[in-house]
Amino acid sequence: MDLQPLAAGLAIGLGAIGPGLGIGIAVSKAMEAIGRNPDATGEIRSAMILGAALAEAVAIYALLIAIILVFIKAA
Amino acid sequence: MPEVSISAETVFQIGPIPVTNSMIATWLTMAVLIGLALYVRRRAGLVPNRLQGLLEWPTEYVLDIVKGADSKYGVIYFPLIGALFLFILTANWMSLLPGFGTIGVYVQHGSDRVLIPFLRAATADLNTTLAMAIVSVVVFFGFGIVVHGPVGYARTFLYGSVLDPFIALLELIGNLFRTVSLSIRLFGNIFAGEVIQIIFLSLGPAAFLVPAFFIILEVLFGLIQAAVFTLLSMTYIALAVMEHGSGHAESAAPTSGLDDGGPAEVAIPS
Repeated sequence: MDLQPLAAGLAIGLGAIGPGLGIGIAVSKAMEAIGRNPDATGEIRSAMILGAALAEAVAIYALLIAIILVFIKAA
Repeated sequence: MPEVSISAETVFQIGPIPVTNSMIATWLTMAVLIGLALYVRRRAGLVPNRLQGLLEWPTEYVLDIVKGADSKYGVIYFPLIGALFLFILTANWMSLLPGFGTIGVYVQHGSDRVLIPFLRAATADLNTTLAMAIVSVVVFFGFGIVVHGPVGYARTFLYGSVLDPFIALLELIGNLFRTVSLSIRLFGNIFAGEVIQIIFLSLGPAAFLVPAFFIILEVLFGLIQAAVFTLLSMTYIALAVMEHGSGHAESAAPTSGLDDGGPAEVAIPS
């Protein structure tokens, strides 16, 4: 039985949990901050995008592993 | 299933050196940037025209951020940061042009024919991103050593506790690992974007509009990833040259809003 597709699915599926939570927390805090201090919207937004991209990078690692699993057939 | 190659394909060879399609794209990006800079410099005026404004805007934007993060040494390493930003942004956006990854020659590879494109996004090759990451890591180590002196910089790894050897080792490994995290982050984002487009295109002609939507997203991601790579490189250098007080906890607070959290928070990405 070929378990490689299952492994790819698990890799990206499990790997997306953490970054998803992380980006959710980052955005929710940024929204709170904008609500409290709308004048700082620009600065908060750029800091939020930076943080979200950092969290997203973890999901990208998982996605890379999944892509490798899908497209590179094990010998 | 469409063919996807993780590494860049060799297009031709000059002597013993294989020339890959991402190398061609890298040279093309450099040619565009250098040509644009030379052209704009020749007719630069006090009142900028449109092209001059286009180049001055990102440069000033990055300069403001670098100055805000490190008012003392920021101007010294701004050329590196600015060049990184412009190069990554141009490379990312150029890879969205028609012709990238689509025009090439078919090569018989075993039983199936494989398309070898002439151009491949420069940042969708781990070699390119790893080179840039190594440069930025070497520069932040170098700046730390030049500013604090070899002994002084080594002392910034110490916290004055019994566990110092382990902490120093962990910090060193963490700092070296920044090479990997910086390069894989950029490579993964751009490469995954390309793979997603290839997969949606292979769904058939009915799915023609979906890749178009993803290209709009890719424009955004290209900008964000360029900003993330440059901001992180800048933060690493700024942290390395930062004055460390006697107690690590109350070390000099950085002036930018980006690294308000101090060393503890910025250390997380590595």
